[in-house]
This record gives sequence, structure tokens and C-alpha cells, in this order.
Amino acid sequence: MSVANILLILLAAKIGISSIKKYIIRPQKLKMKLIEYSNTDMVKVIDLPDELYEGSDLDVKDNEVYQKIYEEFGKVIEEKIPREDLDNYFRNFKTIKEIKTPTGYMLKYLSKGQLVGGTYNIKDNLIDLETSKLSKLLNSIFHELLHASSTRVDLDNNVIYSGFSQMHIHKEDPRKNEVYGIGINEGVTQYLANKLFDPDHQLISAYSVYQEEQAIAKALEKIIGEEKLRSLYFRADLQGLVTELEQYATREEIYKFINYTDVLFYYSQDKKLKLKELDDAKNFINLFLIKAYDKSMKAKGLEFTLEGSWGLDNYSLPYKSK
Amino acid sequence: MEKIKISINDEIKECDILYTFKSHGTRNYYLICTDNTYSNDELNVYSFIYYPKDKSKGLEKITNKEDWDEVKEFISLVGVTNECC
Repeated sequence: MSVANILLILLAAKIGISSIKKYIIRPQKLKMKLIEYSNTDMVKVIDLPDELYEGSDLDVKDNEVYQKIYEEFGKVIEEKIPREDLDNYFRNFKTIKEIKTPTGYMLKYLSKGQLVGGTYNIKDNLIDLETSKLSKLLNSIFHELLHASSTRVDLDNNVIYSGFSQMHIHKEDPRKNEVYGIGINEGVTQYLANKLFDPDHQLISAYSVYQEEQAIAKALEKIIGEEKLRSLYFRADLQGLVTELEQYATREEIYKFINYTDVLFYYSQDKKLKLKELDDAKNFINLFLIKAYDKSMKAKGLEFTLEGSWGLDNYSLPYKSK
Repeated sequence: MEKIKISINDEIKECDILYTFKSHGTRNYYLICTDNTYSNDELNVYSFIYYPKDKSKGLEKITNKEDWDEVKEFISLVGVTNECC
């Protein structure tokens, strides 16, 4: 399912499809000049069509656009991911309460473009999108729905598992909550959002989000395979990822790798890290991934090849591609 | 295509409705329509506040800056939508 399909679905909203179709073949960007009638007597409304008052409420919960995106998300996931990996999905996604935007536009059209933040509220099973730009919504919705589909809560041990992250909850003081694996998790989530829902690369902004973390996700996919990565992600099985990587690295190296991806993530959110610490993180991550990839190739009896650039910086490789 | 009739400078025109949207910033619903005329290659559009659940209220003219700013922001964004389609 491509973004083009989603856009066509969006265009099937009640008001506007034919009017947008009118401009759909225009080769140039539609420029509009808003006439700001300072003199209110200049413009008078004479007649309104009944159709303007039909259709779904424009509030989010009933908005047909969100409903269609929601349905398409479900269709793709159930098509691409094996049923045995979807317990979290069926528990959370199928019962998601709403997609909430505290500010911003709610309408029948969405456009691609800019970044937006959002959070999956585990407690209430809803998605909060922080946006004041309608164009930011589409990619964020898929990203957050993936979080919703890959989360489980262990109430007995006060742990939340979400994709490849783990959050240990401190009951008395939330400031003491500990999160581990958030860097890998955000990277894999965004990587999957792009791969599953935008294979034609139409949401350009989606590729600039969590760029380095996405590079790490892509490398992990090369090392352990697409099927295994997705299975572990949807099962929220970070320990499973560690076990899988132990075929190619020591546990100590793996934990250090995960820690350093968290360092990258926190740096991207708040650039207070010293550059030396950041360089150390990137260099270790690069070396870890290349060595693991090399071992995974050898284990399969394959030669080491490097297709394109999938490291973080232009790291000097110890091997030449064949 | 849905149309509305409006009078612009005492000239009655049948306009195409291009968009309707709700802003969470102002909590208003807006309608954007065009009389399909152009000014320097730009399509002339008009905007009003409307009440999707109450036809008796008709369309309300926009009189304050906050509403105009909301509509301008929206227009700046949907131009991209049309382009990508």
C-alpha cells in the first residue's frame, strides 16, 4: 500500500474530491490568493448546498480520514506480519481509543511534508499528536500506530516493553524511570513506518526523522534478517534481539551498542553532549555493526559486500567490498 | 462539485467549494471557495466561518486577524497537497 493510495483515499472525502480532481492534472503548484474582504458588505452568501452539512463530524474520533488511515494500517500489518507476532497488535491497536490532536487542524485532507511529534499513551491506549500543521500528520500516525502495535505491559514487574525499548517504572518517583533501547526502537519504528507505508518514498520528511537511528535499523535488518527483526519488534522482545546478536558479538558488546544508540537518540533530542562522546558512540556503533554483519555473512557462507552506505558517518571500513 | 452562491461587490457568483476544515487553534470551522477567477495566475479564493451542524447559521464572514491567519496557514499547506497529487 503506497502513500499514493492513501492520498487517493483522503481525496475520497465528501467535499472536495471533484474540486481537487479539477486541479490534479495541473502541472504547476496551485497558487491561491485569499481575498480578505475588509469590507464585509462586499461579500454576501446567498445559497448553501445541503451536502455541506452531511458526512462525518470533523472531530478526530469520527473523522473518516483517520478511520481510513487506521483501516489501511491494519490491512498492511495483517498482510505483512505473521499472526504469531501480532498479540500486542491485536490487544492494543484493535482497541485504540482515539487519535487526539490537542491543537491543529482536523479536516478531510492531509498533505505530506513536515515533522511532527507524537506519543503513544500506554496508560490510556491513545495517541497524542502534537501538531499545529496538518501536513505533519500522516507519517506520525503510522509511527505511533506501530508503537501501539508493539507494546506490552508487565504490571507485576513494573516494566513496559515497547518494540526494542524497555521502561522500568519507579512507582513513587516517575523521574527515576529508566528507559533502555529507545534509540534502536525509534529507529526501527521509523524504518518500518517508511518501509511498510511509504515504499515509494513520497513522504520525504519521514526519511529525515531519526536518520541515524534508521541507519542502525537497516543494518540490524541486514544482520539478523527482515523477518526476524520484525518478529522481535512486534513481540517487543529486546532480549530476543540480544540473543540473536550473540551469534555475532559478546553480550557486553551488545549492551554497549544498545547504550550508545540511546546516547545518539538523546543527543538528537537535546544537543548537550560533548562531541567527543558523540564520536565515541558513533565509532563504536559503526564498528559493532560492521563486525556483526561480517560474521553473519560468513556464517551463511557468503562474501562480505556493502551495498551503498549504511554506516553512520563515512567510517573507514576494514574490508573492501567484493 | 458542491457550489455556493455568493455576491461579490453586488455581483452574484456561483463558487466551487474547495475545502472545509476545523482549526483546533480557534475552534472554528472554515470554508474556502473560489469563483474561478485569477489574479496574476493565482486563483482567487474566499473564506468564511461555517457551522457544519447548523445550516440556519449560514456562513459567517471573517472579521478578525486570528481567523484570517488560520486560513492563510491552511492555504499555504494545502497548496502542497494539490502539487503532490
